Amino acid sequence: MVELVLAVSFLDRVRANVRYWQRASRALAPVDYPLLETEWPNLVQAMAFGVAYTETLADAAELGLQLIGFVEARGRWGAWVPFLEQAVAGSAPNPALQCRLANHLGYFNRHPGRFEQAVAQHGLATRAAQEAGSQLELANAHFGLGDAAYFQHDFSEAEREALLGLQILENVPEGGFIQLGGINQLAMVAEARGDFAAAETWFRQAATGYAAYGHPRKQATLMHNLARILLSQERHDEALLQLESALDLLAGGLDVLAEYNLLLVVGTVHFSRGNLAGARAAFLQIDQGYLERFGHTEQLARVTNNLGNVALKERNWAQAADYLAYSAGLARALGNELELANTLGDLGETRWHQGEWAEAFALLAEAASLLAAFPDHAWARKRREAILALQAKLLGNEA
Amino acid sequence: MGGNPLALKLVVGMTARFPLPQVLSDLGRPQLGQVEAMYVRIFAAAWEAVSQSARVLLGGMPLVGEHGGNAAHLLAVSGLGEAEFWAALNELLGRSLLEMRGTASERRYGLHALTRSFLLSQR
Repeated sequence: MVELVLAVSFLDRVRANVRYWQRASRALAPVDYPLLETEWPNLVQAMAFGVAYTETLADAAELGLQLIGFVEARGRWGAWVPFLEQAVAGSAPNPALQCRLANHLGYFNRHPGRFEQAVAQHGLATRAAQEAGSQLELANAHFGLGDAAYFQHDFSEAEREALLGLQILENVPEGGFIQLGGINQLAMVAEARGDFAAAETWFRQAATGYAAYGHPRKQATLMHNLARILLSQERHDEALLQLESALDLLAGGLDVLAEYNLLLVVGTVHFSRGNLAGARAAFLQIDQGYLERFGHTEQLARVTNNLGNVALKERNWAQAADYLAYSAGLARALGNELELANTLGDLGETRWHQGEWAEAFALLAEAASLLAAFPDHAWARKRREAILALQAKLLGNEA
Repeated sequence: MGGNPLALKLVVGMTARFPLPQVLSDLGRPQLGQVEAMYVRIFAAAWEAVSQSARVLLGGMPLVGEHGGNAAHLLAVSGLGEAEFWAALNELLGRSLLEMRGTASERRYGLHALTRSFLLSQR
């Protein structure tokens, strides 16, 4: 009796639930995201059951896409990936829907460094977009492929895909918003190559573009990138101005992760100026527990690296070693060789100060060796030179 | 009742409709290892004791997260009319098949973990 009644009505209830959340979240702007926060467990339930049934999959997929902005703003792509995977697999008969889903899934896979899956999804999106005749999603898929290439430090491929995407959008009047992603990608490639002037121009162009579209989250991200370029050129006041404006844009918990990324640069600007108290204060505003809880290991590795560097400057060797060893462990687990090399360099210096010379040399040697694999990366070249100089200095001191 | 407060509440809820000796007799005397089966019998009996509207509302509750949902959410999931919905909600609260959560200004309703397990096992 129980089984019969539940079986008959449950599918209707699943559909009603998905549609309720579609209606409830459709009109919400980013500023309303805190309202969705309390409903997160219900949104997860709606997606989990919605994608589990063929009859409700399309509705659930639309809900999943509708909530992408919120999921990105909270950095909870880990929770959304399984739902998008099911939705992509189930939406093959609808290529227009499938290409949108696959592009988002590609980006969500890239965040935690699952590059192979990211490339596979953007590849699938390319084919689905062609089938659906969607030039927008086709360009977006190329930007996604470029994004994955960039984060694997293949800058030529990243540039090629960005240009391909931009070329596709040349004849698409409604492609302005997506185009800004391609411009950001070109800027990031220019930054990585050390062409700060070109990077600055493109970052400013894209930030202005996102402002015109009324997209504060994206605008703040571009201002973050711009501040990073300004910091690289020691234009500290200009960088802080950008960062403060960007933090204002995100006020009220609009995008917690983007806010933390901004605070990382704020702290780095203070650090770069020798204001260690200001640097520590900025880094400690970042909730490490939040990063740990939601699996944002990359940001956790950065903040602990930065706090380790503050302690190193303050000659608090024990605290520096603790932070840096933890950060190195996280970077190693992520397979992020650039971050790992950077942290190992700092840890090597710390261990030398602690009198652990053999360990210090081993750490510095590993750091230099890792950085040698990135000859096209301007920062990596500069960092390697600094580490080799430190090695030589320490060798001289030891002798 | 295996010492479970929810099971006790459910049995008390059933006595509003059936004589106590009959309720106890139906449940039997569980042996060690049969406690789970006894819970299923308690829930099945509680299910039988509620109205059709209450069953419809309860049947959709596994879709609501563990922290519960507000009335607007539950109403939409149930597909019931407003009057039917409130009657069903009161009935389920009275029989301890639903739990009240949240605050007076933002009331939420959810399932006990055992009730959720029972409902999911019956799909």
